[in-house]
Amino acid sequence: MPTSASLRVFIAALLLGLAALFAVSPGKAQQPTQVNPTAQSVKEKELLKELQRIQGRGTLPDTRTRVLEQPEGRAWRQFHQVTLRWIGAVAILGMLGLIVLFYLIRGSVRIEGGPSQARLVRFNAFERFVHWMTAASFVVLAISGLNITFGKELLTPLIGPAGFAEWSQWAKYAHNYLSFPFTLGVVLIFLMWIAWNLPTPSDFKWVAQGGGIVGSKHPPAGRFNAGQKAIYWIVVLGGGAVAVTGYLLMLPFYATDIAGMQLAQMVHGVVGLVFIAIMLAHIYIGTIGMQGAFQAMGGGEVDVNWARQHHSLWLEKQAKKGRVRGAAPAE
Amino acid sequence: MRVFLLACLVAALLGAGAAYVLNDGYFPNASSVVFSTNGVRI
Repeated sequence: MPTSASLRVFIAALLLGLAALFAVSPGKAQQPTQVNPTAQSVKEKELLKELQRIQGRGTLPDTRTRVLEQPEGRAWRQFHQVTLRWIGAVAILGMLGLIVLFYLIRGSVRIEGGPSQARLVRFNAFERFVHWMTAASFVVLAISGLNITFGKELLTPLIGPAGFAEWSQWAKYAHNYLSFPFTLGVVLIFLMWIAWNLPTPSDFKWVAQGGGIVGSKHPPAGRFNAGQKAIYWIVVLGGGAVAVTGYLLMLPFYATDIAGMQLAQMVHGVVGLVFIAIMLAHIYIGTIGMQGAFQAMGGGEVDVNWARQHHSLWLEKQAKKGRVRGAAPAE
Repeated sequence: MRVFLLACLVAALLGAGAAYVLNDGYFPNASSVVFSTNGVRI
């Protein structure tokens, strides 16, 4: 029947048209009907809880980049975001507090009898050059290192996120590359002053008498007293530790894996922060804490009265060699 | 003072030299052996 056939064709065309319409509809046709993103994240959380790590496939040649989460990573994050900041804040602010307290109680250590006209060389030009090269590098390394641990919280409110990012990028470059003169300086310090920094019996007496800093006695000491020897070994061993761990971090995966680099960062951070705190004390006693001390590393010469007060054994030897210049006698 | 300034200058030169060498003739940029994983440049 022609009418019936036409109706069937019309209905079929209608159904085909509707089917085509649903096929291209972006609404229901392309979206799964049972997607629940929250449920998926819960699954990942459970997966992580059970497997303790999230890893998958990636396109970078280095397969180690494919591990996204692991338990050690979270423990390390907790360390460098919380524990390390506490260690640094307590060490540095505590040391600053001690220095201020010490200055208020003890004041600057004066040269007894005042400066004389006689002087002798304490550090030659090369020694001062090495000291200041290491010191100048250290100051930049310390500031840029503190920026890594504290900068985000302290500076972002002041200079904004863009300013902090720009500053931090340059600070990181300075931190990386000034490590080389610093490391060279530590090596040279180790070599050029080791002969005077080995323990001697006089060191124990010096410590027992408080070094003349605590109390009024000035115990005899050689070229370096026990306190300076402690600074020397802290610089050599601490500087060596931050150098080694720093290069492990600067050249990722060359010598160690993720766990090794996390350990390196922890050692680097703790030693670096304690190093800064101790250097604050070194800077204090080398400047306002002791009259005549800065001249030793500044111009290279010290007053004989200063040398007699703080390094009497060294002065005796220097005087015998005829190295004291000026009017006042060495003894 | 001169020794101090010389020490600062040498420190800066050594730092810049290290940056130059480690970046294969370029000053710090993202395409270097320093900023790589497993020796593969990124």
